[in-house]
Amino acid sequence: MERNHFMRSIEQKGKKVVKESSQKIANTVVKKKLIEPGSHNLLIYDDLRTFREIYSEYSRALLPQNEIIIIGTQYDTVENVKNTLRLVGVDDVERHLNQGTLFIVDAQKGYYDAGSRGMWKLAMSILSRVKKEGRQGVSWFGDLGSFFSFEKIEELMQYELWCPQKYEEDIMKSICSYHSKDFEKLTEAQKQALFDHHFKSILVE
Amino acid sequence: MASEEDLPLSTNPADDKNNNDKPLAKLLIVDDDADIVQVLKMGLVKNRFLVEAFTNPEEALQSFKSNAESYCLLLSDMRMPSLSGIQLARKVKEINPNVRVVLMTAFEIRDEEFAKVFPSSRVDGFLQKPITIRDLIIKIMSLIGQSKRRRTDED
Repeated sequence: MERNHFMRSIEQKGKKVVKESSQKIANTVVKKKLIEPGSHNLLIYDDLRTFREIYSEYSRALLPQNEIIIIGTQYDTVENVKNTLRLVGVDDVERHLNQGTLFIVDAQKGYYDAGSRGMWKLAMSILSRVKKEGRQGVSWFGDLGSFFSFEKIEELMQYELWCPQKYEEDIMKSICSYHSKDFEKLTEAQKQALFDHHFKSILVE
Repeated sequence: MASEEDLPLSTNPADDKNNNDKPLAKLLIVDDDADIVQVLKMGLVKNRFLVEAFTNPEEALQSFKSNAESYCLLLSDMRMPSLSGIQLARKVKEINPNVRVVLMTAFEIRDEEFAKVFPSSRVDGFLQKPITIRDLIIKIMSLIGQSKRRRTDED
């Protein structure tokens, strides 16, 4: 991978890049509060296990703090995500789902079947609720793998570059998530554009 | 390796007493979940199939390319990073159009969506996970049987 080249080029531009091992990444994301308020971030995970650890540790830490979490899953079923959250000790997953403080969505339906902005619309509707109910915020993990399955790379790029780097509302945080094998399918220019456009890039090595 | 002409039309390979040592067919299995690959492989090998199994679809494709004529059927997961089941199916059919393709998924099966996006990709069957080995064998045997009947008709 041309990752080193990208890292040098991005770091020269003063972009925020975090590189972390798969063993430490979930802890780093939570403890170091990598996901800043109002930011649109890029996460490249090395395998599904790592992605599971990241969103589940994040949910375990943030759900009790009055945060709403959205997980858009591509390679795990909704049921598997629920089980993963239960396994790491997220308290009462069903209650959070019923109360609307946790949303687990099939990302393929969210990004593809409902149009590339389907997940965005869902997140924005939850954002209005967050404001109305005085909650801490909303964090949105979305796996963009469906764009690769359907070979819709142009739509992916349009969608990503259409999303702002910083949201007007500080209570909104998003983490656009890519399996590294999907991300590898992009051209060098497309990778660079994504690194440049996101507020922070988190790479699991 | 058995040729298609050797394949029984029975859906219960265990009942076939005459060709007990011959593999029924060579299958390519692909799923990014290693546990699923292992279970499917074990179940199918036990039922006299010759199985090449992969968790990486790119590696599976390489293996297929190197010996495309030897495979009867591809059994692949639908959602996999780097190469989805439908993408793999298309590539495999381009190399050997006679290979049967079955896609499996734990998600809702919406084959019409794939038909819209990839109109030229023909998939012979879909299976909803979880799958029992028995149901899988019935599906495989029926497809291989169809293939044999089609060839006989063409002759």
